[in-house]
Amino acid sequence: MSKCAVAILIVLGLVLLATGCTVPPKGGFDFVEQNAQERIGMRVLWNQGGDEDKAVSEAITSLLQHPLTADDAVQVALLNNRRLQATYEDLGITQAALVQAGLLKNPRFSGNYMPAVEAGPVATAGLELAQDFADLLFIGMRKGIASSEFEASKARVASAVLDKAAETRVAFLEYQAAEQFLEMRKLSADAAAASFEVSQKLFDAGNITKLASASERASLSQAKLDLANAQAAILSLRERLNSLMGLWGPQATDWRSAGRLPDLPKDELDVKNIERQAIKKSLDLSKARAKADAAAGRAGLIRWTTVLSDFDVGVGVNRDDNASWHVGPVFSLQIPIFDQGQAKNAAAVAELRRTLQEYAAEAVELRSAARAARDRLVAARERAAYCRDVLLPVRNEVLHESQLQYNAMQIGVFQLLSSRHDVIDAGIQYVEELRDYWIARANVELILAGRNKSASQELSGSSSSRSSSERKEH
Amino acid sequence: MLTRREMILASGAVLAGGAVAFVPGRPVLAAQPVESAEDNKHSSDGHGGNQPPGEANRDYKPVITLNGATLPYKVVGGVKVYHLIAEEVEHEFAPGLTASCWGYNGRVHGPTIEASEGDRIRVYVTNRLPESTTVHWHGVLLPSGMDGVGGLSQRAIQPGETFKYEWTFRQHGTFMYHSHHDEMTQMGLGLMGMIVVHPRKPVGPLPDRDFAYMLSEWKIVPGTRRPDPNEMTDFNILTLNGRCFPGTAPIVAKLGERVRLRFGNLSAMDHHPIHLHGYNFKLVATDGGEIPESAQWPETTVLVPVGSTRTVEFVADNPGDWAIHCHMTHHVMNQMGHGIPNMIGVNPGNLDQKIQKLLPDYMTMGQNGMGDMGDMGMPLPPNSIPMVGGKGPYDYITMGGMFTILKVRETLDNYDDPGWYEIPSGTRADLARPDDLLRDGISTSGRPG
Repeated sequence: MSKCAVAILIVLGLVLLATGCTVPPKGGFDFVEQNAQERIGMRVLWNQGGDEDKAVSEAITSLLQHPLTADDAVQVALLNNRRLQATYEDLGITQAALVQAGLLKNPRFSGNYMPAVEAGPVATAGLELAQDFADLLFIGMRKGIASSEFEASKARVASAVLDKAAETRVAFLEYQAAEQFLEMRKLSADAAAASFEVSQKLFDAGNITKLASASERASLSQAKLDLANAQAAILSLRERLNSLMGLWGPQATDWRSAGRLPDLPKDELDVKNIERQAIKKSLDLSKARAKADAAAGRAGLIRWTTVLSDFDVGVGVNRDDNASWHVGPVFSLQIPIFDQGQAKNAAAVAELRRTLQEYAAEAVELRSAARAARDRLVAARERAAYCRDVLLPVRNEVLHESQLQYNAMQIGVFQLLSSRHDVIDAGIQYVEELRDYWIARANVELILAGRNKSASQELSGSSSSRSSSERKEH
Repeated sequence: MLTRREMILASGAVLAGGAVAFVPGRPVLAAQPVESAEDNKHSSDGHGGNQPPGEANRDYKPVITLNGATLPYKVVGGVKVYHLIAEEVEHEFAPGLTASCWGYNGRVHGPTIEASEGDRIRVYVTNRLPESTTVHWHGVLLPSGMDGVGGLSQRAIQPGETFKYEWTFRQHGTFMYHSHHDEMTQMGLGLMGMIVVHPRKPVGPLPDRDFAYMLSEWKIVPGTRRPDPNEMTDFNILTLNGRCFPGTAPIVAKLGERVRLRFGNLSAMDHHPIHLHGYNFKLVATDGGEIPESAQWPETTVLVPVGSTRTVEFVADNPGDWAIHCHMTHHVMNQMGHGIPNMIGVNPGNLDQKIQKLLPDYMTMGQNGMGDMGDMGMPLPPNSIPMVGGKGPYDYITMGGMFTILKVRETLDNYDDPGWYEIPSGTRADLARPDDLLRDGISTSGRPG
């Protein structure tokens, strides 16, 4: 009887122990928060209802009241993008799985009752309380696997924050560029309108042919179409930003951008050891590594569980024919005769090998992506600087000299306006190059922050903003 | 420079040649590299030969090349020796416009060669150009070998070489000299000059004032510094002695003086009808010789064809400032662009404000004509001059190019520019007074009856 009491006590103890485990509400988010703070200097909050949510909405309102910079837009998106918030729940799910892995299987209580038959003397009955003690042996391994999965999940969520930040930054840069394109398209249309108006006046005075005047009108039509395209582009880019920043209603229509793209910064990012830095910071590698850890844990667990699982030990009470009660231990176990677990083992080992290969692949791809991002940044800076330092000045010089030649009546107003148009075109090209530079820089920053996802490739689908039509030479 | 040794070595080769021109039976010396310091004894040829070289102010009254010069000479053994150096020259066409041209002796055009009929002359030509050249003596009667046509009458003078030409003037009159090798380039860049040969025994009254003019045309794109000799039709600088108005010096004469104007035209593609205001004149000579008095035709405009000279004379009996210019209107414009849209009659309205948003310095031009183009004060390309004119005493003179002024005065201390003519009161066109209009029944609002 004393043995029995000990067994019961053990079981009860374990039950109490297990029921003591609860799931923390924002488990793992501190990691995400810290990452966002350290790697991109941004604040993230997990809106789960409550006072904090109110603070978040106030912060967003206050950010939106002033003209937005790229940083502001990113901050709004990180606070307000509902998909990102949804991603945070992955943490809750994996955190719960971790807690789950630490829980023992519940004890099993079973019983039977056999009513007395006419011939028999009394009814028989039995009661059993059993616990899967093999589960107890594996709980550590399970927790290890779940913990790795949780780590992977944290890395994934932290990556999602970086991705969202980069995606928003790129969208914002494109929006800013589009605003400048629109501004210049307006100028371009003004120049074409002036050119057409001159041609009309010349035609009215009887000085030029209808052909010449019609050519000017054709140029004006093209310029107006380019302007309409620029207007459409800005609307669609704005909507993409609204969607990223989680805005709707008046908030979506009222915000303004803080103006032009910043000029090329004096100091360039340190990209000398970009490969090493990228490897060191990579969240993708952390995730792949955690995945491999989990796969290794799973492979170990499977090896044991095939030989030792459903090993129940407990205590049973039986009333026999004589109506006397017997207490004694009960147990049950699987006999691995038919399924010795070879298949499950092999699958688990294959899965492990796969995760290891993926880890290595991730590293190789990351190095290549880092080099590509660096090269793109360097080239983009060169092009933008060339535009600013060579193309634009020389276009302006052409315009200046055209004005002098116009003053000397060596060239006409059409050629002069055409030179003006060329300056606008060069300006559009400069903004394109500058935008591409900032996107390339966002891409490098993303890699340096620990995420290999070509923000630009995925996010910057916009092609050249210049008009396809050639200006007619006069 | 030839060294003494080279000259001695070379002299042997030409001793047989002598220095004789067009004497039948004697060898004729073609133009050739200077190879002998000796040779050249003056010879009698029956055309004014045996006369001492003509001397300025004794045998003739010197010709004046305004904005130009007369080529100096020295007499060596009775021969007038001249030296022309063909070279690149920085030339000013008018204040504000200079260009790298080709000229002689640092001038564009070359200095006027002046001599007397019967003079034996020897002209050394040194080539300091980057390409070969020759000099042709246009209208001068001389031996074939002295005619200066590259390839035909001589081999071309290589850069760095000095050639010698020599002949005796058998005629008097107005002639020209110019490159006759790669003519388009070399004449397009300015290699030309005048030749004036005075008669030993002049017929008729002698001029008191005798002027020589070379007419030529250039293409100088505003903002460039070199004439474009490839131009065939669109010439934008038209010059009198290499200058365009307002860069031309005035012709100054005292009342009653006989004035002779000699024009030569070596423009690439254009004849020039030169018109003199306030006078009629007589065409007295061409480069072919004098015109008999009976055939002299009174004119107010003398057409000077390309490759010809025309000499006119008149008595300056009408005091005043008188325009003299080519009558082709495009030839009295400076650096006119011909590729611009015709703006005449265009009403710009508020167009300027619209365009100024794009081009702050923009202004519609030419909608009322080109007369204002001279003094608009707008920034122009460097090294370019306004299309028209300069300041006159009463208003802006809206002419450029081949334009100058004959200034005839009753009294003159010297022949420097006497300034603007003071028109006697009551003899200058001015605003019609209302009482004039009334008296003569002129209505300015209706149509003339």
